[in-house]
Amino acid sequence: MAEPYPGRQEDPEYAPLAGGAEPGERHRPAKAIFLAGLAVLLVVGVTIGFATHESPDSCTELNSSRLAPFREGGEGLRRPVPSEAVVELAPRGVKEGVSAKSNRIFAGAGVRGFPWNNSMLSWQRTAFHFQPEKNWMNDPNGPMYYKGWYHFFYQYNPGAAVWGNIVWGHAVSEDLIHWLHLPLAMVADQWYDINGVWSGSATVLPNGRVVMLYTGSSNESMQLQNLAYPANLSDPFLLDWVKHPGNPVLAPPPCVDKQDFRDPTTAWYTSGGKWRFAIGSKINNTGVSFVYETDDFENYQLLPGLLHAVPGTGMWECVDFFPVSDDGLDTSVNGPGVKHVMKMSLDEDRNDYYAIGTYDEEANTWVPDKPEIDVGIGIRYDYGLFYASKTFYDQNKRRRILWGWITESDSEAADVLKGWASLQGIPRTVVLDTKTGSNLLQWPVEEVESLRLSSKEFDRVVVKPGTVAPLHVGTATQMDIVAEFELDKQAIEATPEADAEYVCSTGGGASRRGALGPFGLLVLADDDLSEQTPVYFYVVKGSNGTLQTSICTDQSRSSVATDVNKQVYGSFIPVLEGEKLSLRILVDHSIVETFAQGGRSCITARVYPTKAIYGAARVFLFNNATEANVKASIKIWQMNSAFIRPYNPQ
Amino acid sequence: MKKTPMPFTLLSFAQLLLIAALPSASADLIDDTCKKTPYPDFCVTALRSDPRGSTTDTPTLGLIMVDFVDKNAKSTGTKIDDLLGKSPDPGTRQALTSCQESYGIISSSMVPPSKESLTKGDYKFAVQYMNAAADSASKCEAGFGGSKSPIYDSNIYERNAATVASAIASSLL
Repeated sequence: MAEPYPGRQEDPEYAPLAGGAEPGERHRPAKAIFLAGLAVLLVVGVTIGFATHESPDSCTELNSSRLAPFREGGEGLRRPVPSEAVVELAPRGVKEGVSAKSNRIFAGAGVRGFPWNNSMLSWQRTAFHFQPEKNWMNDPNGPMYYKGWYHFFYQYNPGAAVWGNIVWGHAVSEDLIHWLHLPLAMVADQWYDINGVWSGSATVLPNGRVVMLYTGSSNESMQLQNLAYPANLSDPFLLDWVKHPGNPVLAPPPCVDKQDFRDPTTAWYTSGGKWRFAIGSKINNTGVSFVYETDDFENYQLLPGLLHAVPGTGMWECVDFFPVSDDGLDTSVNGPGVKHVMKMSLDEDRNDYYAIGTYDEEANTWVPDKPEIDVGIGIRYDYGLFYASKTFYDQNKRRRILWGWITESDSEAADVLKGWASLQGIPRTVVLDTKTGSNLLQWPVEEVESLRLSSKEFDRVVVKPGTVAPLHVGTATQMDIVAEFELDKQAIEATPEADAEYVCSTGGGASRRGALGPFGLLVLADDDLSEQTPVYFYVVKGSNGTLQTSICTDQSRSSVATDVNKQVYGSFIPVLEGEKLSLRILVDHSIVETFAQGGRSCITARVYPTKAIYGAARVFLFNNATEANVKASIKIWQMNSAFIRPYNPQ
Repeated sequence: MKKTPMPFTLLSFAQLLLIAALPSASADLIDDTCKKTPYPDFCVTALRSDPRGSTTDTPTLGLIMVDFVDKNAKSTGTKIDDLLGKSPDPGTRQALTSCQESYGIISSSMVPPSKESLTKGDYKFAVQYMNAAADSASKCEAGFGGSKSPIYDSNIYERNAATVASAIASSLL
């Protein structure tokens, strides 16, 4: 009998072969070799598995059961938001194929476009908000402070008033208000960004070095991360930028689509002496944030796990991640008791969401304080138009500053006719609201006050139900308004409890009267109120006598034109014991920015009147509540232009 | 006769199955994609008429639809030129001129960002600009004061195609 295995010691007692072959079964050498080969492979495979398990990257881990709920994440997992949260979700139309912006299509379907003329269109340009001289702008990029100048970069189309052919615009300012346009900082001239020099962030290193990480859309339309740095650090204007010869520094990890990987954040320095940055993506329908670690900004390691993920939120654009307190904090600050803000731009509904939580540097996780208002399903920076926003730490004045892209809400055709589209919001300081502990406060940077010219004050004016009172302030297209309101206490007490909540978007605007609201101001209104943009509070007495307050901006009658957005924006806003209702409104031609309760809730609207323009624009105080008087104290400043213009060396 | 080796027979059978299965795989993509749009029948007919319709890539279906929007915009522009050359009454002339401007803007300013958006993976812009194109077509029709315009079919086609293109892009968000 032939020996089945060469070299095997002869043994009168056969051990059974794997598979239970009986002694006496012969002529199966091939099968035996095959099975032995499999066994060898199995052993080798398991060994490799254990060996590589030492440092799994996020992509490997994502296959594990721990993250199974995220993989299955879908629309059904979006949690309902409790009414007491400061939220007012935008219409969820996008999933059904209708963007929020297109609501006006159906509202005005079958109606002619408005015959805009040059006078109306040119009035729309702002006096003190950042915008290029012409063409399209979107995301703010790489904001920073360097050698006495604030730098601002932005997504720009050099050839049209619509998105496309994106490059980096650049401007500088000494005070975040008076800007000088500079030449383009980066254009699409490399294979790795030839299809778009997309968004990115600056990191100013302690040694004075500046690094810029940005997304390039490559010649194959893949989203790659790239490094750029100033050509000449002694030039305070940082006119010229060098793209790192070793670009791209990062390609999409294998577990995500090559087109779901963009907008790297500013880096933060860890206790382990490394730099880290975050970047958003999506896996199935779960929005996620990866973190990469680096020593030199040229070589990176993808950290295991995800900084955070929320099922059902889709692609996370423009992730931002930073520490907060009642003061501004450098991006690298960390420690027990330090809260971190996680923020992203939700591709699906074009809104910016944030949440407050705790960062565990060692575990590379961030956990929200209140999971029911996690990022993407809770609080927004702004309840109007505000997207792709980004903060930076201003070492000059030790504050955290927020930039946000304000898109148009008129028709794209009108944008083409007028030759430009989009603004940036007035930069805002961002701090933690220590009174509530659960939201941020945003406030226009104090430098905007340098534009204030003459003012008019209206002290403790009592406004009866149904009153509209003109405020004689002269020109009413560039204004800084500060107002405080008090509802008559007896009226509040006498009012019965309402059985329904008030929601700005469905509340019917300023003309639908309730017992304790609406009341506030009408801006960009004409004398006979055929056009008006009410900014108002609406108070409802809820169960057990508690007052619920909403702040809204009503565009429904903002213009007689039909091809502009007519929604009512706004949100519920917490008002604490002893607080008066307070408003700040910046009006600058076609933009109205509202800050309520010291910036606890913000609403940015784009408004396009056809008559309430130039010298015909007015501002009114109104009270449309049925039961209560309102006492109002208001101060209104005329605002100067910021004379934003190209830099001229002479 | 020599017996055909078993593995060879199996392989041939498998190949046949694969070939039979392929077209229905991409036909499913058209059906699945068009189901999510407001005009599914229109969507299916249009996409199947294009050789690129057998793609397995949803953004490509969106691009095909944007091409239809563009082609129709250009041919409608030509029709309008024709009609304007026939001395219409002032009301019709005004409406036609306004439509001419609108269709020009669709081709020059709404199609390019939509194509760029679908190609490069930032889909929200295709949603926005195709919605705007649909809106333009509706407004063009409305400019004729309630009665059917002389370019009614073109306007309806444009509205449908642009709405479908927008919906396809939206499904990718």
